[in-house]
Amino acid sequence: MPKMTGHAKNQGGFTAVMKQMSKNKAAMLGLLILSAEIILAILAPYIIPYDYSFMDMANMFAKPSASHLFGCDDMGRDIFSRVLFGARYSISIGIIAVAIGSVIGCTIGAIAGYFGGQVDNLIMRFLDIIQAIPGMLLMIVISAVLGPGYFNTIVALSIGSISGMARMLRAQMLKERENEYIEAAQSINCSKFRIITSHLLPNCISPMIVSATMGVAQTITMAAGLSFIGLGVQPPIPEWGAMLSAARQFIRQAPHLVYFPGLAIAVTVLALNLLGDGLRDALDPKLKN
Amino acid sequence: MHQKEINTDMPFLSIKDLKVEYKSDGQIVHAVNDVSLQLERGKTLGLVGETGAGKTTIAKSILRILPDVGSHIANGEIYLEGENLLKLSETDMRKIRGNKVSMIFQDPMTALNPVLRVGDQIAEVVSLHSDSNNRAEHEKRAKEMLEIVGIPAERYYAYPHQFSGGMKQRVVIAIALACNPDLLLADEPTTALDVTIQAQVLDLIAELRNKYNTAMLLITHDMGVVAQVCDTVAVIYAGRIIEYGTKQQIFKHPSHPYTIGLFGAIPDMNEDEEWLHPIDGLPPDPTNLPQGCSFAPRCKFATDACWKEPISMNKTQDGHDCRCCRIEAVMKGED
Repeated sequence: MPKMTGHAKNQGGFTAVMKQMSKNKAAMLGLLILSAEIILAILAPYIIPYDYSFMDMANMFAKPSASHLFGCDDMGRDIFSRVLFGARYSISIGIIAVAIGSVIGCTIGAIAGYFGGQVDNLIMRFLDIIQAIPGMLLMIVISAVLGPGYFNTIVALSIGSISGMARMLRAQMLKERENEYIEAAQSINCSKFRIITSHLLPNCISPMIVSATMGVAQTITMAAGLSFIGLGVQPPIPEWGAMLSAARQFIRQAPHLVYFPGLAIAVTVLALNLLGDGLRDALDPKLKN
Repeated sequence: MHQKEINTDMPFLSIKDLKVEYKSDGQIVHAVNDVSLQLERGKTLGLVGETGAGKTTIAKSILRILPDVGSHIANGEIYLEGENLLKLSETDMRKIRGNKVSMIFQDPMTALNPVLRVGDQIAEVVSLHSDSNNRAEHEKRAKEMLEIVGIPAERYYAYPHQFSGGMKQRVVIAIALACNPDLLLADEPTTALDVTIQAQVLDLIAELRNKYNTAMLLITHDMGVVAQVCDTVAVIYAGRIIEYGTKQQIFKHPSHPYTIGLFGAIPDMNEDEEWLHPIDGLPPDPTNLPQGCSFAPRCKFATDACWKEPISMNKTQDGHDCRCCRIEAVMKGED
């Protein structure tokens, strides 16, 4: 019998996953970028050189320089300060909205997928109704009803992502619950709750993680869309998407207005995707070596 | 627990007139029909039959883990130590599942959860049936079980895919035995394994059974396995027990034409036979069982009487029952 080497120790779930992921350089890079962004966002008020809403008309459309690292926008506001401060809104909206959407979606999907039959039918038809409305339109309707603002935007965005998540988890559950180990779990007297949470969910989680990390990226751009039509986070709060859509009319004269918020979104999305991929691999015991 | 109707005269496990039906596409599938059997502590009963004969359904009925949707126990009683399992509340049933009665599953490849460590899967059953919340204690017990089934305790932290089929089946056995069950339901425990591992696993089960005086219901379609492990044998055909007796009785004097056919189908190694001797035909459609003997359509001895009404159990020898109305004639034909 081959001797187990090194990492086959008894580790708690979190340490084991972290250890596994630390072998994946891309995932660590993603984690590094994301944590740096989050730290910068938290410390933003102390780092930013100018107030994010301070208008300096003399510096309208100023090119990047030593005093204005990323230049200034159409109202002479310092883009570096705005991007840094905007991270607070963009990242938190993306992550919180997806987290809420995933938790609710997974709960619904797990119930539908495990119990099947009439319960499943009822839930799925309800989700059909929601999904019949185009995603963007649904969010516009919800934010129009709730009104603009930070929390309302999060609510609108998370409701929009519920049905997709629920559907995906349900499909996974339907596939997994046919396996004999579920029967085996019943035979040793696991409760339904335990079967769902500790036997089925861990087997269904991989595609959910990938879709959630991609979802964060999508949600950030969706939030931008809402800001664009005046429903999301309101100016002068520097949300990245809002900055991007405001800058697009000056793209010819002053492209740096678009570059920096765009770059911020791109880097965040990239970091999240790297992290998501790594997390999925680390959670799959078959990929351990 | 209160008001238990405990009858101490009863055998350890006693199933009476069990009838299980599945509903599928508006049709009723008669999976198990009027099955009665008894099992004493420390003994092994072999349930032999073709695929789809209802063997697994009987085992799942005992544990009450038939699928919620589409199946129901239409009739019958299952007594474990004189207590009717089918009348127990779900709460009381929980104390039995995995603890007093446990099950070994057919396919070790899918019977273990791929994302949990094997040791944790053993510890899970221990913790579900233990009063204490001491994880270290459960882990210790799980490691003990691993050693008992012949796997080094340091493999506790391995995942199922790192094990071979035989080792996985050992883990499945360890899970089944972790709480020292009084009754073990082994559902084709060796079917998915190759012959050398099969022998090891059977030896292991037999050894553990003797050590803990566990009663075992062994489900199989392999007469060789029956010969090796069982004390008594019940041959099942289309959800009915058609022959019941001790291993010696069944192997030396098979009485029902179906049992005779089963033995006839085993190729004889001493003769250079070119053709196998199958039983002609297929098992009857369980949604539409024949009115009379369910084996009549395939039976070469069938007469008009066989088609008319259900055949009752005939006792031929001491404890050797057979469900065939032409039993004497068949026996003579044998000689």
